[in-house]
Amino acid sequence: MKPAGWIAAAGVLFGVGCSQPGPLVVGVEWVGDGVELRASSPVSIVRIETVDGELLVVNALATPASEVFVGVVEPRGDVVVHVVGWVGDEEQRVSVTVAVPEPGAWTAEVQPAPGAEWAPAAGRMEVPLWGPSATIFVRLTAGAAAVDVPTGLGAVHLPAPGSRALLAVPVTGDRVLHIGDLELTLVAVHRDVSGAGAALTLDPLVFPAEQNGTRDLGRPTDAVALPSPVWERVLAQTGSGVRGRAVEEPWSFVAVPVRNEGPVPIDLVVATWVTDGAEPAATFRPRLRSADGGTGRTTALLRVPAGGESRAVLPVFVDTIGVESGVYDLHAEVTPLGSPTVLASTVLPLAVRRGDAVSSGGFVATLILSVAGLAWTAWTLPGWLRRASTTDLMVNALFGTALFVVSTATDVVSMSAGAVLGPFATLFTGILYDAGRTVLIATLLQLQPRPGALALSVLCGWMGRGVLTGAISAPDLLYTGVAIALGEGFAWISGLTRGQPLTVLRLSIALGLSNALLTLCGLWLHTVMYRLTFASWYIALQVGLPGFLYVLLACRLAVPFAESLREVDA
Amino acid sequence: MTHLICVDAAVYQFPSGGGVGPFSLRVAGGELVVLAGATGSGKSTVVRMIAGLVQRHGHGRMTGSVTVCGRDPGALSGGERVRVLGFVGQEVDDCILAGTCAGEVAFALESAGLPADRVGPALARVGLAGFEDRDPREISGGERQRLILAAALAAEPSVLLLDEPLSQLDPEGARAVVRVLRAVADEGVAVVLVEHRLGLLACADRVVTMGGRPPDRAVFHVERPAPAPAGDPVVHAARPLLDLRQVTFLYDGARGVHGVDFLVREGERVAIVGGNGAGKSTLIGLLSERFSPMLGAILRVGSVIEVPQNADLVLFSRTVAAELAYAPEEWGAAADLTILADFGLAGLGTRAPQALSRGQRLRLAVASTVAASPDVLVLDEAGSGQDPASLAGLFEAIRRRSTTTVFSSHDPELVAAIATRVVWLDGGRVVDDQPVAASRWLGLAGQVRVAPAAALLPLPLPTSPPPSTAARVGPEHRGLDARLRILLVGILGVLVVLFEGVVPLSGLACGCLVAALAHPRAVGWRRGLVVASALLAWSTALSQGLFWAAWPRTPVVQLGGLTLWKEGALHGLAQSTRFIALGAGGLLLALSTPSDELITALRARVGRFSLPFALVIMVAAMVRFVPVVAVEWAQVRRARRARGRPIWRRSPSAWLAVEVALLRPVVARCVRRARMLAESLDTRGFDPASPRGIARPLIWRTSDSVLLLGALAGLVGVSGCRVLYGLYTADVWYHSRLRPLYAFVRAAF
Repeated sequence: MKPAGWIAAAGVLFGVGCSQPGPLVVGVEWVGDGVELRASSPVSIVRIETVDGELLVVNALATPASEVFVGVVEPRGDVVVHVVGWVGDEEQRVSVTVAVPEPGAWTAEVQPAPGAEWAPAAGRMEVPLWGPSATIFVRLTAGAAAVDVPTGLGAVHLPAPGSRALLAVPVTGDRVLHIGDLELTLVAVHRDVSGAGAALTLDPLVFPAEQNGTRDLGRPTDAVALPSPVWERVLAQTGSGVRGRAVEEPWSFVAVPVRNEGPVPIDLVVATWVTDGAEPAATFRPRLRSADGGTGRTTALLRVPAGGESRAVLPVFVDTIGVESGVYDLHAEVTPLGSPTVLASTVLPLAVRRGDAVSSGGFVATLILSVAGLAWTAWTLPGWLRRASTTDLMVNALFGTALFVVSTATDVVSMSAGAVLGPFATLFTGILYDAGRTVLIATLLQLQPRPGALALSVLCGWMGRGVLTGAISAPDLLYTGVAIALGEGFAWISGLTRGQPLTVLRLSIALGLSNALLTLCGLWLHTVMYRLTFASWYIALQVGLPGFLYVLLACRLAVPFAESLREVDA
Repeated sequence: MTHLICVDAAVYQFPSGGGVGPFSLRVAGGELVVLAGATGSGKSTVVRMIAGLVQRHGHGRMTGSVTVCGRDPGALSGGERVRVLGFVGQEVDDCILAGTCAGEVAFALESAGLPADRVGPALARVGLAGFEDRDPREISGGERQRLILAAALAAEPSVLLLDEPLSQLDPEGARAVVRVLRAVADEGVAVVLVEHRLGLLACADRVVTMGGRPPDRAVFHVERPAPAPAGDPVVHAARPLLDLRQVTFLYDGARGVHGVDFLVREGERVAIVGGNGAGKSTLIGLLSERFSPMLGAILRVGSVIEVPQNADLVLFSRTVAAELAYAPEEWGAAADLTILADFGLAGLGTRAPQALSRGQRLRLAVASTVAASPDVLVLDEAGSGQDPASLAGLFEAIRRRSTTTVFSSHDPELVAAIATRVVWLDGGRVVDDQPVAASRWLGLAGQVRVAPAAALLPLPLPTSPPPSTAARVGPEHRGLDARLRILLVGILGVLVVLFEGVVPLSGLACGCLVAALAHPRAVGWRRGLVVASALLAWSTALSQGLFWAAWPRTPVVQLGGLTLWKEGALHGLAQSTRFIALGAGGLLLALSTPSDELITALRARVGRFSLPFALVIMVAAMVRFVPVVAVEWAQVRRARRARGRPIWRRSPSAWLAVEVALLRPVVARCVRRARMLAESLDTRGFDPASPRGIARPLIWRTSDSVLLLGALAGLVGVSGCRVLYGLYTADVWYHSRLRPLYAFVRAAF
């Protein structure tokens, strides 16, 4: 698609994205010991009161969500749920009354496999065994009052209405479990691990992913792209930015797609972790360290239906301040529930790219310098032009001509040399350019030793280049502003525009330092605006040699040159 | 009789010592007065005093009184200067700024606030009707001279001053200008001109000779150069040094020389003569190896060194003595400084060459070339603007050094006195090659010289062929407004910074490159443009391949301690499309828009803001002289090469010193040209502090507005998307509804 097409499509998408949605619709249901809420838009506050208006609980969500569960202890009758949500930019409030069933003395539920649905703990239940044993969980919930529940594993004390207890029940074979007056028959079904492994396929990991497991198209693929640590620290300390700064918030998600071609569903434990070399990468560990048991792994349970596919979505935690650029490995492996045998595993190289604080800071400094130079020029230009004689203006303009000719000639040479020497061509051709440029500027300063002469020359040169080659882009203008600010600034500091005679030392200060800084600013501009990369040592080399040393050498030639030309002017 | 020009006991002291005057002169309306005298006698200074230039631009001290139309010319405002005075400077080519003849003439009218409808009549008056939209650089030298004359006359001034207006013209072109001057004077204008070639000015009312004679007297005095010594060896038995056989060299497929044959023997002094554009400079360039023949062959025995038309370009040393010693020392010989006295430069050995007077610089240029002991010395109109006596002295000095000489000239008197043989070129072909006594050209020139003034007037003015449609450019140009083009290139510059993806950047780069390559004016540039783009892509890929710091990194090749990374090279290749898009887009602007239009566009007012005209004029001057300075720099390098060893056969520091020294004549020329240009602008009413109108404004059409709005809308859309995405990736601001937009930006930008 052409750029115009992209632009049009962007406009349409933007319009669709910003179109006004409908009102906030909320569905609320009492489940066990609280309310489960599903809303048409993310909600941020859920407030639950009795029908008499007595406050029971308020939940202000750190991250707005469309599906929320809020636990309610001792509801004492029906409750009213007040919801505050956002539809677009508009805040909407909805209130719903929910009937709360009368509680019994206690309830018992069983989970045949971790992560599976809870079911009433009575009757017969099959427990798949992928190894010698498995564990199932029984959940006991108190009714309207504290209660002691006798079980085959001992009595369980539920100390308050609505309180819960979880029993882990080891299963190695068939067994019957009594809970109060309930009887639960557990039937052990042995499964073949190697057969299951052969039936399982782990598809490529999807990173970064949305919470629903689809690829996050807004971020670079297979990479963690972060601003510079300095910027992250600023955001963290000011509490601003896109992402919540709570340590438990994931940076993104990774989707682990698993296919099961076998005849029976498989319950799996899916684990992901990131390593730096052989060791788990500390900067990728879940923020709540106790949650991963110190392993650095994030786990999830996944049931893959027979002949089907499931996708586990696991959070990826990143220490956005501490993580360094480089390539890490994002591992994923699946084990059957109850067995340590790894059925499948995969590794995704995970690149971390960080913004460079020095380049970003340098770019900002360059911008400021450039704007200052241009603003100063705009402010003082009419005055310079009023005071200058026509001869001075023409001399200045024709020095611009000579500078253009010299720089174009050396550009051509540089370009040819660059085909062989690459970025090091300027180390050889720079001496010619710097010598030519320095003698011309020195002569100009000799003939017109006053503020504004350099700025006029640079400005006129930029505009002339624009007319001759069309080089009038924003980076060119920024560079021109910096050249003016640095050139005029250092010429003034050295005294050359304050009536001091031209000497090698003054010229070296005026041109050497300004050119070194100008080279640095130019590289920063290239780094940010043209997305180019330069090694630090290369930047130092450029600033040190063509930027500074060559100019110093040229200054030695420039002073006698300028002196001889002063005679011509006289 | 009312005198329009009154100079009473005017004296001007130069800051460096020496002076002119006291000098008195009165000129009435209708008079055509010639100011003659030896080189350095102060003629130009007097004319500049009358024009008020010395008063406004000089650093010396002036006493006495000068009035023009009863006013002090130094105190006239810009508009008044244009109405009262017309001035034509020495170097016409250095006074032209505009890209069209009409623009050049309109400049003075803008200064005086006069309507642009005077442009046509002014051009017609000097025989340049229909030349409005032609580029002054593409017309002949004589036509340029008349163009400047038209610019000076457009505001119908009372006084017209000209400083050596005929020096660069052939006799025919000079006659044409003289006819115009006579006609102008006859209309009541007081005309004063400085000229050496008095033979062309028989129609003048008075000739005032400066230097020893009382001023304001109609005395015509010319010192004839000494006749050639009787024993001069013009013998066919002499050794042949240059042999041209059927040599052809053409510019633009037409101009140049066709099938030229001639022989130069040792000891000869060959004059190459002919009208402007006859091919003299081309032939000189072929002799001195500046050009290589397209057809035919040139046999050279020994060295041939040229002193170019502008002799300043030969002078690159710090002192006169160093200049003379350069060539001998390059070849390991001792310098012979007695040559200083031979060429009248005794006592000037420690002076900076560029600080000498014009005549001295010419003598030094010739002397330093002669010091290199060439077998053949070639001079390309090197003596123009010098008085006959000075030239006779110069050629005598050359003759004493026994150098075979080939020179081109317009001046029959000089040719008759100096040459042993005359080669007449016309239309790029040799039409006559005879010993001086039998030269047909000299015979015809003699007839011209004695023709009565009255007989000159009815003759038609020679002009170039009518301009072709393709050559016509100007306000009626059918295309986008120049301001819009500048804005579009600016928008392109922002877009290439905003886009990051290979697809849009490549699209922009390809679009711009193809458009630039397809432009008719890019015909000669196509290969260079493609090569430059390829080099740019290659060097950016190489640079980024070496410096790629992000991950992943796949090594491609190890270069010593450096590794070339695949991902970096690909990244560099993608990024180079930015530069190609920018460069090609800019070039397209430059190719498709005449500089004149661009400069007018720079004067555009946006709301209350507009660029100061003085800055615009600076840009125009900068742009105008880029090709001139480039050619001059090349000439300097060639002149040095002819007198010395190859530049790379020395230590790096010595090499650098030579490179820097070669800029000296270029810069000196720039300073001199700037002064001349400033005076030309000054006399055409330019004042840096005064606002002025635009005589020939650009026309902004509705279609331009539509296109601009479309481009701006696109730019705003792209920038907006980019800013939103930037806020998201920088962790600053995010909105879940914009996720499709973020995805789109990532995929498309």
